[in-house]
Formats: sequence, structure tokens, C-alpha cells
Amino acid sequence: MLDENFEVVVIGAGPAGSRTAALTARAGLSTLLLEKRKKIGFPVRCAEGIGPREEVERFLDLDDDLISSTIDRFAVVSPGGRRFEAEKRGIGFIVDRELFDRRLADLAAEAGAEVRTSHQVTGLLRNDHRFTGVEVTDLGSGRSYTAGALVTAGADGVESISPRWAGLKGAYRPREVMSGAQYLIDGMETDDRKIEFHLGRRFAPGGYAWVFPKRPGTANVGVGVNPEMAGGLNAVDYLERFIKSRCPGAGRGRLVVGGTVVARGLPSLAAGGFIAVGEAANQNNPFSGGGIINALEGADLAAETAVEAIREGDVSARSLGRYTKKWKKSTGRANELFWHAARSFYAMEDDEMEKIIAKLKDTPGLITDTGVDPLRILRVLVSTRPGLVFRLVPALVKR
Amino acid sequence: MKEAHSEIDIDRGKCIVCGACSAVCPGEALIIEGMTLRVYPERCRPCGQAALVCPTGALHCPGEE
Repeated sequence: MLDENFEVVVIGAGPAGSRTAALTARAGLSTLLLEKRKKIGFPVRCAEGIGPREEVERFLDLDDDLISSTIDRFAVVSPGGRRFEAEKRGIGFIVDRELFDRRLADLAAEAGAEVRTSHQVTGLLRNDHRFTGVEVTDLGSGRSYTAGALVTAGADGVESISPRWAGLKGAYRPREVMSGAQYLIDGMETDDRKIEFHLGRRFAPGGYAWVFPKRPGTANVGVGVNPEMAGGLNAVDYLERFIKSRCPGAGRGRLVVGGTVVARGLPSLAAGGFIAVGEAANQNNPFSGGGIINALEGADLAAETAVEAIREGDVSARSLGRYTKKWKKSTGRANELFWHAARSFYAMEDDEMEKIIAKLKDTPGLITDTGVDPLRILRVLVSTRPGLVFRLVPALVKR
Repeated sequence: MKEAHSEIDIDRGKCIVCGACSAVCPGEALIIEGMTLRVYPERCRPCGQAALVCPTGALHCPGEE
């Protein structure tokens, strides 16, 4: 016997989960949104850089208090210290992630979803045919209960286990999780409309270091490294090195650390009665690690499919599998290209990367209205490493 | 502040409960529960991968190189 019953249960109240819950609740489905943390959006585990504001406003209105700064310029600094600068008005913005997550969860609640914090999902329920809900522990009282669901959405982020329970993925390999660390730095020299990316083994082997300005003189300064290339050091060690070079002596605020999934897309995002969304579903951009817009996009497709499937009375793997197809046709396709680009680009030695950056600099159309064009990156990579083309052909022709 | 679970060592002063270790631990030996990192030492394989991804160097586990 189940303690409670819902049509949809969502695991995790980050952007993917809250957006999914908002949409299923808005469609009239009884929806439970479960978050293991005490406070939604806290602590922040994010560099807070997002793409163009209009891209996010496809999903929700952005009040000004959610936006720390608007980005009009960016700089890429090569391993050898050469700068590539470009200007594009409104190419992105720096979000206040804590407020952003809370806003999305509020929208879910306003749409009628029941939101419970400090409630940890400890397992999935299943019958012979499909997953049928979740086992939950209320961390406040210690009480455990079961909640049935026609569709369970796993949006439990980088550390997500629910898609593993559902058989959609295994544990990540270390190179699939970018290890990141960041300080909020005060009193540094910044252009508050410019973001910086620093490449090369010295500061960020297999990844990049960043400066994302929050307001004049204050920025998120961080590094993301591939743990398999880090030579026994950790992300905080590299961050220290980067700060010493970029902003020595500046004041330090909160330290943010965490992993970011930069893995290849999953073959399937759905099982019977279960769908995975957001970072839990490898929906992050594997080149940049950015995941917020992708999570919102994934949530829209997931919720749309869940609503259809429930209305049709068929929540089988096959029926929910329409979500996988939709994702692969939209952002999933770009992500596949980004994954190939990332795999070649970040593995390069500094001198080769230096040449590639010089070429990218002269590539017209590299920066689009929504970000970076993965095909142009691949084209440049192939021009220096013709052998790559064989690996890329399937990705380019498929779908 | 050090805490030992058979051979999994966590420096709670350094651990920021980010979940990176949990993402790569194949045995589900490291689980974020609420706001803390819970260790289930009996599930450790051991493979050392969790220590590799830990951003702060808070974690040491068997199998590390």
C-alpha cells in the first residue's frame, strides 16, 4: 500500500525539476516536487553564467533582481597568454542562481505542485512493468513514506542516482565530471560586462578557468579541470594558482565547489514510468559545462511528453521514449557535436591548442545569437587534424 | 575532523558536500543525504575514482593511485 499518490513525482528542485513540475502541474496533473536540501537554491553550486537573456525568457520572465550583470564582451586567453576578444551585445548574463532556483520552485508551487524540502528520495518503486513512484525519507522527522506516481522525473543533478536506479546510466567516469572550484572575488580589476575564459594546462588542464563578473570589482573566479588530467592536484589547487596570477591580493568571499557533468548524451532518457531531466540526464553542454537553458529545454520536452503519455494512459518506456527523440532532435544534436569538439579540444597539448585558438579567432560565424556554433569549432579542429573527420562523420550525418 | 570508514577518509573541514564523488562512485558508497555526505563503506568497490574528482582534496578512498 502506498502512503500517497500523485500523477507525477519530480526528484530535485533545481531548474530542470522545478520547471518540469511547474508544467505538469499547470497541465492539471497532481505533482509532487521533492528536494533533499533544506533550502532551495542553497548552497549555490554554479558559476552563474548563462546565455542570452531572451533564450531564458522563452521559459520564464526574468526580474532584474535575478540578473547580476549583463555580458556584452568576452575574452579567451590562450595557454600562451594571447587574448582573443570579441563583442556581442547581450551574449549572456550572470544570474543570481539562488534566487533563480527559488523563483522556478515558486512557479511550480504557484502552478499547484506540492513542494517539499528536506525530503530525500531513497529508492524507486516498481512493479513488473514499470517504475511506479518513490520511497522518501523526511529528513526533518526521520519518517519514511512511499509516494506513487504514473511518471517519476529524475532531476537530481550531478550526483543523481535515480537515473542509475532506472537503468538509464551508470556511475560517471572521472573524466565525465569536470571538477570545479570558484571564489567570489572582491576588489579585483574587471570589466563588469566582460567574461573571461583562460585555457591551458597551467590553470585548467582539460577545462578552463573563468572570470564571470557579478558587479563592478566583484566576480566569480573559478576553474574546472578534468580530474584525469589534473596530475594529482585538485580543483582548489588550480584555483589558487589562477587567483595568484589573475587577481593576487583580492578579497575572497564564498568558496563554491562541485562537479559538472560533461558526458556524452544518454542513449535513452526514459524507462517505463520514469524520465531523466537536466544534468541528471547529461543535458549539459559538454563543451562549456553550461546547463541551465538546456535543463529548461529538457524539462519542457519531458513535461510535454509526460502529460501526453498520462492522458493517453500509456506511460511505458516506448511511450515516454518520445521525449528522448524530441531531445535528440533539438539540443541533443548540438550537444553531440559539442561532445566531439570537447573531446578533441581539451585533450590538446598547449601548443596545439594555441594554434587552434588562433584559427578560431579568424573563423567567421563562430559566435551566433545563441552562443557558439559547434560545427565551426569542429571544422577548425578537422582542419588541423584531418583524421578526426572519420570519427565525426557518424555524428554529422546521423539524425 | 578526520573520519575513517574502513579506508574511506573524509576531511569534514574540507568537504563541501558537492556530490562530485557521488556521481562517479560506482557502488553508491557515497551518498548526499540532505546537507551531508553519508558514507556506506561496505559498498566501496574500491576504485579510487571519487578521490580523483573531489575538488577540495577532502576525500581519500581505497584504490587511489
